[in-house]
Amino acid sequence: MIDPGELSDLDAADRATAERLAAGDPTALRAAFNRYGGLVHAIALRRLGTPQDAEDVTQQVFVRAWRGRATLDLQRGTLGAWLVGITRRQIADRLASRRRDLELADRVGRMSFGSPPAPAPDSVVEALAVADELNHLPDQVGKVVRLAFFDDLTHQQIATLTGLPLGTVKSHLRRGLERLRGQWRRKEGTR
Amino acid sequence: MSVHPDPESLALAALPAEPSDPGVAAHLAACAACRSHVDELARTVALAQDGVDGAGDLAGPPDRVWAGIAAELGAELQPVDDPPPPERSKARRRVLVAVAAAVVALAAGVGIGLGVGAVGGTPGAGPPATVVAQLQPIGPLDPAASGTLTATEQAGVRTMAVRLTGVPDTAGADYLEVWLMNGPGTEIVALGALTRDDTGYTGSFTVPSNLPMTQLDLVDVSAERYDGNPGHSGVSILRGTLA
Repeated sequence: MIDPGELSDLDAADRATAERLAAGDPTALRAAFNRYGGLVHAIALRRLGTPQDAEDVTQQVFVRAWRGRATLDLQRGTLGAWLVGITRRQIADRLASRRRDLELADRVGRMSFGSPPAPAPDSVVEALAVADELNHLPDQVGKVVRLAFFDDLTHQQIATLTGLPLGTVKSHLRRGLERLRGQWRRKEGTR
Repeated sequence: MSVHPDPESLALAALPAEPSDPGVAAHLAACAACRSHVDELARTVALAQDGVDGAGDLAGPPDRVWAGIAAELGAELQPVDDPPPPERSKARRRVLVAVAAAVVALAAGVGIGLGVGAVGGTPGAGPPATVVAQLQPIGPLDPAASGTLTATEQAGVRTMAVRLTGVPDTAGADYLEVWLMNGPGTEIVALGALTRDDTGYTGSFTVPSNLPMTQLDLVDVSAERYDGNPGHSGVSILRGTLA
């Protein structure tokens, strides 16, 4: 059975959360935090290195998301991409303030992050966004995609292993892959 | 140039273990557009493989981060259109205390005892309960969730019973609490916390018979944390209006 609705449901849920957020519904901020807090926090942790800074940035991202909800334009990108954009700016501010603050830079230096700390390359943010989306794919799509990506199985082997029809496996692989591609490919249009 | 392969064949061409299809390979050698698409899909696979190395980091920030967000936004975290959940401000609690005090004074003035909690603990044994509110999910809660609020009155003691079904474990909540409030959210009374059972959540509460129910006609169920703050968390998950 092919379930064309599954992935578009994911989009619809995301869009509904974004629309409620833009309309000032505080439960939407919580929903956005539940869905994207992990990604925002992981990006901040990877690029700033210290758990305290990562938590501070995560808090600031969602505070700013609430206060700046009028700037959320779904024509220009998704909720996730918008939050990642806020995250990038918060991290850039934090790194700039570290550079200004010699004392802090010293302390960070002793913690072997270098002085000034070298930010992780952009591909790290992209990789986290893709991995986070993989975690949120519908169960069956996510399972098929993981078997192809990480267990080096062909679509025929996946069909045999899971008992799914070949056509379903191919459809899951294509749709899963294209959705994951959207996590890094679309950002050029939203910055 | 050959006809473009179907999208599923292009996806397979980007995957690490798939044997190369000679027809697709020949097309890719000649078609820059399809080649570029497959390259992007292949990069996506590589990013996913890199990203899972950091998958532990994706588990989410500690709970205190949300607490920090809610604390920093405070009263700002108010809905615009829906009746707002009351915020956790001290000012709001003073209003509530004043409302409660007025209720007590009124009750004392007309000589109605307020020690109803002591005799209200036997719901179900008395007269039949009337459904007074149907609760609907709001916010991101599963739309299959629902709830009812029933009322019984016996010897001047009004008991309200809440039953919720189809409510999933609410991420980030330690317990659910029921409130009566007015539309603007400026007056609110806590009924109490709900208990989880096999089919959902239940709770039974005695309500002073002279509580101004015509004003407090909105039933609100909130997701709460054991954070030492007795106020409404601002996260409402179901609501209904008293009939």
